Amino acid sequence: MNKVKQVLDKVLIVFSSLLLVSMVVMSTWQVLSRYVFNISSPGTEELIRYMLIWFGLMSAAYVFGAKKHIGILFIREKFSPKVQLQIEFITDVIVLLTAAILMVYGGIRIVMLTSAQTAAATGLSMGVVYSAILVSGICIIIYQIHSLTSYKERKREVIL
Amino acid sequence: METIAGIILFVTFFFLLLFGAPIAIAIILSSVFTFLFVLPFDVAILTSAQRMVTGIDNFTMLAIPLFVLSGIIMNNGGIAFRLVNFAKVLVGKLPGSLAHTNAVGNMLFGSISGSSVASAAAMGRIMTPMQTNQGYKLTYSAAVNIASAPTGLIIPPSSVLIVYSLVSGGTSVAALFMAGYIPGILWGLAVMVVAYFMAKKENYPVSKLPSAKDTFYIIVSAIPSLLLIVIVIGGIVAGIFTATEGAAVAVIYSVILSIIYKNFKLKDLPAIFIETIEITGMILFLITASALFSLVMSYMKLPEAISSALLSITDNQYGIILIIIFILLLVGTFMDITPAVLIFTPIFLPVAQSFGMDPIHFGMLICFGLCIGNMTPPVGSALFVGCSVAKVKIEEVVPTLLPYFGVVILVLLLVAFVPQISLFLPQLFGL
Repeated sequence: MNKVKQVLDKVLIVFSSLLLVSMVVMSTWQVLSRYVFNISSPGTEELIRYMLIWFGLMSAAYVFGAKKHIGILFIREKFSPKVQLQIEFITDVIVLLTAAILMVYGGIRIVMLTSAQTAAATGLSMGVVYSAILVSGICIIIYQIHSLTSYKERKREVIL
Repeated sequence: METIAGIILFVTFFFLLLFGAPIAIAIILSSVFTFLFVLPFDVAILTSAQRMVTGIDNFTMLAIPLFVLSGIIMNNGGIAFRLVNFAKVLVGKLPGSLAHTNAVGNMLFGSISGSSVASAAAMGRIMTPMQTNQGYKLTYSAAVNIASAPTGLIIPPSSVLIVYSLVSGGTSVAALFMAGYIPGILWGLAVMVVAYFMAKKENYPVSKLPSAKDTFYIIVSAIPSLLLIVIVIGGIVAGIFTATEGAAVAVIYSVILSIIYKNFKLKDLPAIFIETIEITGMILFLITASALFSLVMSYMKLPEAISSALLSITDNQYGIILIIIFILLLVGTFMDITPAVLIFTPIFLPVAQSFGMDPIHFGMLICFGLCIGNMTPPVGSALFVGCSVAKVKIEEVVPTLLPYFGVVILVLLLVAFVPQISLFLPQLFGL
């Protein structure tokens, strides 16, 4: 499971970084093309927006793997290590269920609904845009399963 | 019906929050539960999933990852050091000069790096040894650093203001950026006033000013870093480019500057990307969660319910603003700025607008009020970083921080009750 997480981390980082660089280049290009070459390209902005959706949801999934989504921890930290671990376990299950029901199930439904629609300027299928939430949900589920399977070891550490 | 929906929303939210669930998940689940209460399962799930995608579908939002990226690239010792020297030229004649240098350094570097944590760390690392050398107490130097670090969050370019622009329904980023200058600088000046009197009391030395030749060199070498602000803010305010395009220009500029300064190595690239992805993945997910939250709120007419509840306590607008300030300060102590802005703007903005408060003015009030939490326990991030770089304990610094806390709240009251502080510059530039 650790191996799977490492591979997924890499894939998400590389994919998100590429999107980020492309968005920087394309946004700068938009300024240049407007002033230097006097052409406006409505397709560029639409494409950047869709890339941002993918970037946002993929990097959000990565942050679940890195456990860096902010929460209010100072109350939880008042409990004993054993109870803290139990609360963390339950939280992980809640995140898993949210990803499965809302992002994967909801994502599949929304992709099916929108796959026939196309974007105004680029002609891209809206299903491609909306599948970001589905893919992000699947990644989050993998991360949560990885986290949940590591509890046995962590429990042993707490007891020792 | 509304009452029950409201109860479901807030009880689920606070329950998840207290047990340390990610704030975004707490927002999403409480919203979905509230939807499930009035809508069939499939409709609720479908609407929520769709909202989570359309919640990020906004060109302005791209400015956030781009400003974060450029801030991380600019966050290196070389640029921080040049700005410290520049700050020293500006304020080096005051008693406790190094403390003032630290405060001005935070205002400059904080606005460029866009992060109070990065700024407190960079300034603390440079300034603490210098101040200790001149016999300043550690608690004094750490307190100045901590109290002035959040100014960079309000002085533009500022991601918090972009977040507010999005959640307030598209308030102009250019206007918010201009509005941020006076409150942010007033915060910094207030810190310097306290530092001045404390330094006088302790008889801290005035450092020697650099020679005219050195001064010239220092100013020239700070110009390229400061030019970033001029180009980006100038371009946005003049309408040459949008906030997002300005952020892209900031990225390109900071890359070029780092290459010229030889601070940029290819092997640093993965770390830069990972840090950007971690910060923005968190922020964007919060934004999309709050898009769902505000949809549920408006569907259930909760802002109206809350504002009539507030108005039933008092219909005096100053009284209501004071209540809002109190809640902001309270929330700021335990919640980070971005989620707090996302959660409380849709709740309080309609109330404020009902008695004619300008959204730009309200944006300053909410962002300023919540930023104060950055320097207070139990979760103030500037406090933690400032203490750890100065190697002092939090409980040792807190007594010295109290007067700073007091003056910053005074400035907050000024910002709240004198609209011109926020609106003068945007109006001057016709925004």
